[in-house]
Amino acid sequence: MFTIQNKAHLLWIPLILMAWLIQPSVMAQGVRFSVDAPRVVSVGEQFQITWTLNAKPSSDITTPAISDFSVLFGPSTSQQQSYSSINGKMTQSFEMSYTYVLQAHKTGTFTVGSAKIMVDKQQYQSEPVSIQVIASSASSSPVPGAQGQTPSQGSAPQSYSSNQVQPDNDVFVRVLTNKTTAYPGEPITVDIKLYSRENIASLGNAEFPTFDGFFKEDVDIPPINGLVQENVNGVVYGTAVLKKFVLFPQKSGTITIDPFSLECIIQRQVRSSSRGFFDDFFGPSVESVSLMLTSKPVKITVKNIPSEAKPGLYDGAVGQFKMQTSVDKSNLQTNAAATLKITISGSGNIRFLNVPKIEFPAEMEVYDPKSEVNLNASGTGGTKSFDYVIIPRQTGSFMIPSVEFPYFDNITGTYKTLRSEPISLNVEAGEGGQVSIAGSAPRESVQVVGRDIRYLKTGDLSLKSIDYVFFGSGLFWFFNLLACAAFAATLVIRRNHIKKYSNIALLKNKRANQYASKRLKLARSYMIKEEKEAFFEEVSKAMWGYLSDKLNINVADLSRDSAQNALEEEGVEPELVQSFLDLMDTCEYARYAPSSSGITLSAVYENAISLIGKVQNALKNKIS
Amino acid sequence: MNRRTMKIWRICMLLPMVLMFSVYTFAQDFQFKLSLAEESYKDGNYPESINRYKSIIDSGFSSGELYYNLGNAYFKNRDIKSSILYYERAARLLPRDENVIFNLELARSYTTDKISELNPFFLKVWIQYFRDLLSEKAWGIVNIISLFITLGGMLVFLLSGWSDLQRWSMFIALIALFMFFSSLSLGILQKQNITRTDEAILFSPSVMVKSSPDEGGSNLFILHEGTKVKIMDQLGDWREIRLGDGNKGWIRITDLEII
Repeated sequence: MFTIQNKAHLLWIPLILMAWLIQPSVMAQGVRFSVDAPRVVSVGEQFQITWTLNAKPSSDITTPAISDFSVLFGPSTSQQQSYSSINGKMTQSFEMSYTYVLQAHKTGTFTVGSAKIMVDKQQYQSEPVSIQVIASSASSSPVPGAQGQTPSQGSAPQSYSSNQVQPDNDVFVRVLTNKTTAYPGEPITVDIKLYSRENIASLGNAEFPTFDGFFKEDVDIPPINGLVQENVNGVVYGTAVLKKFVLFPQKSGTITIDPFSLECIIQRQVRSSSRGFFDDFFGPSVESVSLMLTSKPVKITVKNIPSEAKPGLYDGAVGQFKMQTSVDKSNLQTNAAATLKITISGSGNIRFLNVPKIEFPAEMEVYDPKSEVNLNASGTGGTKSFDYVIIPRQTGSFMIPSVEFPYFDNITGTYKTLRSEPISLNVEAGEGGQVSIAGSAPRESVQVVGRDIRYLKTGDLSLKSIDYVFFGSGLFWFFNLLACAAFAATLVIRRNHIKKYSNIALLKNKRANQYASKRLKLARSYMIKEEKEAFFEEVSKAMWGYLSDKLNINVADLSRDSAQNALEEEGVEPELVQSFLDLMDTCEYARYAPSSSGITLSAVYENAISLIGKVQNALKNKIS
Repeated sequence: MNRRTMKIWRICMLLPMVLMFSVYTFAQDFQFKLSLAEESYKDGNYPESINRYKSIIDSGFSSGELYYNLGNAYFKNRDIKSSILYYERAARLLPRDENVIFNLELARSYTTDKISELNPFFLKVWIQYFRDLLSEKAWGIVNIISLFITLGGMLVFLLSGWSDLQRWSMFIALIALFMFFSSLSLGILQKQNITRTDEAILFSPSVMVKSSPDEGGSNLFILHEGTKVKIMDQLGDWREIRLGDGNKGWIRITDLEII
């Protein structure tokens, strides 16, 4: 027994040596000097305020003057030191705490100033704390959190009761949302919070709402480490946020969030009628009670995003955003990649943002963008970036037009559009690959970049009455009838004229022979009477008259030449015309020189008859 | 000339001037409305542009170009069925217009129903080709001019005695007579084409086509908005329609918009 003790002493020596060696590394870890106090207490309640230091102090603590509370006990100091060896590396931790037990007397908010302490010739200061004191409620049961106990720690003898107790006002859960009206896509923060005035032994099965109609995103929260005091309608509760979500409504209308339910085991003091000796000695006996806690359903009104004045490129972004575009280099080389980065930051449905449309020059090869989302701790905002990899294939200077990003501002309730500056890129010939220079380039067929309708027709659109059809209209028939009427009128007028004209000519033509034969008969009687002068006159008249009637020329206008022309025009043989005219000359001559001999009357008479007959035949042939 | 006739003369002289002036101010007013509509279109405010074009049509005036522009505004406003309706109306008045045909084809490519057209009879294609060479107005003018030439040629033939002239005038008159009859028939066809009411565009998002004109008729096939149909028969507010591929069935008139 002794030897073992001796050996144990020997074992301590290297441990102490090691602790001494490790000392500097502990110092290097950074000094933390913090204060821990409840934020809300009620009048008459006892509570603790503790300053904690994670290093060995070189001086005593200087606590602030505490005037608003009465100090019941303190300061009590406690030290905690621990060593641990991880993978052969020794670490040591040291904690020093100074605790006061205080009691509040009056309501109001009071501030406990900062405490000071020296570590290694350096002064450290704690933050001041403000403590709200409220009027005490009827129940004077101690608030579990005030003792700094974690809910699962229970040292009292446990006896589970099988019957479940209905939840009461001392323990309940709530589903808290930061807003009750929202637009689709607008983030809503949801806290599921536990409120308790009882000692909580443990938490059982929890049933979370399904959040139908929302897109749900979990938010990481630090593990529950003790309850936080909170004033609810004048009663101090220990509270803990069990779970945090960010919801994005997916449709408009009133959406109800189902209740949250939680099984909770609490510890209650059992009030026995006979308080025995042991009760006092071991503390009050405690009973565990299982409670089923259920929150009230929460209603969220989701408003419609107005459809009027919606920008054409709008793609569902709701919130407040900022946009930045940048290219990693503005002087590029052909076939070398560059990156266009579009960063949209702000609060709203960041995760659901779609990439804004960009019209890249057709000479550049563009790959599908890579997107990256970084949400902030609360989950309601952050940044989303889109990286486009572009590879220019042609030299020249190009312009990436301004990027438009329309979004709906849920605070002002209007659409807003972010526009970036256009980015100009200068592309020079790079190594490798073919570079085409204008002029010597092989001809390419026109690349179809997009399909769109042809543009409006401009200028005078030749408007006319909607039912007006020219074809078959009154004006149309008017013109057609006009044509027919003009035709008919012209025809009638011309026909009448021709008729009149042709009648006279026909009559004369028909009469010609009659007149001629009449005159020749007369001439014959003169021939018998041997009246030469009268005979020749009649024969001459018969021949001239015949020509006048036949050719439809007035006797006054008829001369030897005109008669000859007219006859030849009518196609009478020239010899016949000549002999006809010769006979007429002979008659004229004989009329004025009757004594001339060698001309027998009968020969002239016969000649005249035969010539008139021949001309008659010639003209007849012509007409037929 | 006494004072009374002087007065009548003055009125006769003034009346055409007043008429011309009012027509001119009318045209000015429309030109202003058109430029406003065009401006809205340029600014991307398509609903406003649609309203302005429609207000001109509502006041009783239209043209193929106007229908085309309205179709464009509807297309840009993503109302494909209405854009098809107005492109179809424009295509009737401007049968050979390249832009109208292009935009109509593009708008049709956005509709759900893809209907393979049956090959029509070749003679029908030819007649339609010749019919669409000119608008009804142009056919009317050709008709009048060819009538004048025919009758003029006949007059020359009948009244001139010179045989060469007679031969030529006869020749020209016969050609003009041929033109007269063809322009008359093609003009009648063209007029029928632009005033026909047996073609319609489906305006309901989707319609079940029935085998008989009542709700109890068995379902034949489903059509979607923007599809062009031909109306074959009617019974109450039911219409028998035929598709380009020859399928027939009955739907309600309320699902249709006549071109």
